Amino acid sequence: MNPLIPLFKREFLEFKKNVFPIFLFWILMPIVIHTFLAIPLSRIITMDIRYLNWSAGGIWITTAGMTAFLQSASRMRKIQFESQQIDALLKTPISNLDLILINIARGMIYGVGQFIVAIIITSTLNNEYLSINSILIITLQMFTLILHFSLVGTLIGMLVSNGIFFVNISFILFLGVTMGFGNFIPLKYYPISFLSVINSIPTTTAFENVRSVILHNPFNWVGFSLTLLGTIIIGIITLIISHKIFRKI
Amino acid sequence: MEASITFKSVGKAIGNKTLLADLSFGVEKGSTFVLIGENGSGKSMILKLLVGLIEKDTGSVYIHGQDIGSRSLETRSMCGYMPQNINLDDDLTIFDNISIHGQLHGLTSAEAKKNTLHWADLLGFTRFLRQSPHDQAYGLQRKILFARALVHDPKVLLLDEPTTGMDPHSRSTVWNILDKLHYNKTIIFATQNFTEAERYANRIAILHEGNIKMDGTLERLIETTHGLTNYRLAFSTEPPQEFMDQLEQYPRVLRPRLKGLELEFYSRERQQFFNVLRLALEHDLADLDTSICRLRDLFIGLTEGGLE
Repeated sequence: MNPLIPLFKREFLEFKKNVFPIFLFWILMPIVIHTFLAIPLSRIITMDIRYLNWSAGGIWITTAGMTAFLQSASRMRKIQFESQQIDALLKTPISNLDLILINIARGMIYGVGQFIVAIIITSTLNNEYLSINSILIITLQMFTLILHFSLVGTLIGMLVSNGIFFVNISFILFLGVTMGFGNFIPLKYYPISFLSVINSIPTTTAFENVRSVILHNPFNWVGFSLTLLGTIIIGIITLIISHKIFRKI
Repeated sequence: MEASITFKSVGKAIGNKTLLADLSFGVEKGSTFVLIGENGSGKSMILKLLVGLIEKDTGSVYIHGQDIGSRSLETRSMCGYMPQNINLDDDLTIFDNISIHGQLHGLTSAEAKKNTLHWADLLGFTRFLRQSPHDQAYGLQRKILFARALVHDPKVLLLDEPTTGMDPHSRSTVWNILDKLHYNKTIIFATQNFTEAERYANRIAILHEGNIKMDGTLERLIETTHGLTNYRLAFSTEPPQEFMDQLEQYPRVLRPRLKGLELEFYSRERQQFFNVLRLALEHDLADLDTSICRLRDLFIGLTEGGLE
């Protein structure tokens, strides 16, 4: 039997056990960000289209990305540092790659779930209509971003044993994603020197692409490809690091 | 007899600290092998190395002829491992903890279910199967770990202090199961319980500072002491210091230790005992006991010295 099947089964059993809090989180996250961040900012920020429609992309990115990050990072931290389940798993005939893949898949499944709920909620709240084509392009872009966050979460979860440090990282990442990459505040409001830095990060273009669909602007395939490439590189780094961390004292 | 496990010059160090030092030994198929040693002597390290939880720095290890380095997936599937610490998954029920583990070892869902129910029944925790392992007593959690190690019917069973924290009834159940299993499985267990080691092991290895100091059957190990005997004298009142000073006149009275009102020493010559007894009679001697050297005494002699 492929070892990924019982590992998926394990994830499903945990999901089944926690289905209510998971759905509650999926529903509350976009509503809270819409209410406490997007609505107040809509009264300050002026732009060509309705701000709340524009900021929906930020809500999808923030909620789905953070969910993928938190799920993959917290699970990896739990098995490695908190419960020492890593020993129980590594003594079975599964490889490091299997363990990393299942952790990334977990982050992606929760992230995609969050994205679907977020897109339904923002479309309902904003009376927004998205064409099938737009949804497909947004989904493609969001899949890459969710995979990216899930991988980063797996890597952080593998490296950060200190709980307080992990909370700090998560908080900084949340602030960075919401406030630092133009997801809720248009990039024109940022200083030029800051823009020159963040524009050199491929993820910024990936975020921009999601909003481009809403604005009916052309899609930046270079930025998308670079984000995907960066994600693959992080994946390889994670696998290499796992060989240095797992099965060692 | 055919070897089940072979260690060849295995070394492991962390920084400047040597954890395993040029370790070589073999374990025969179908035998029960015990590792005895102080905390940090390398017992758990050997078991973890066998299941691939840590990597060796030097040397080779084979399980049923397969190198654990190059054929790690195969060797891990042959082993069932019960760790010293509780590492059960709190998000799953006890049943799922054991069943998923069996499936990770290649069992089908139905086989895993059947084996889980079988071991839960034998170990007496069937009624707890739908509960979380987190809420259970330590002894029961240990039994769950034991069942988890056995669920895929491994050829090699590696148990790290298997009965620690269990009540006498559970200990007896576990040892009865192991007694039945040892005919077709190789069992290696680490323990600090000398009675269990003497009772259940075919072969005993005494580990000290990452190396095996002595290895063999209990009878063979005791033979090496050349008739060393343990003597205990109990006093009604604590004997004076001059009594202990007088004992130093007898160099063949080994390792005399006064613990409260009890004096313990070793000797290979009965005459030495009579000399000490003569002195003790002058100081409120209340009781005496003699026994031939056992595993505990051998262990103390090897790890602390003083019995040469």
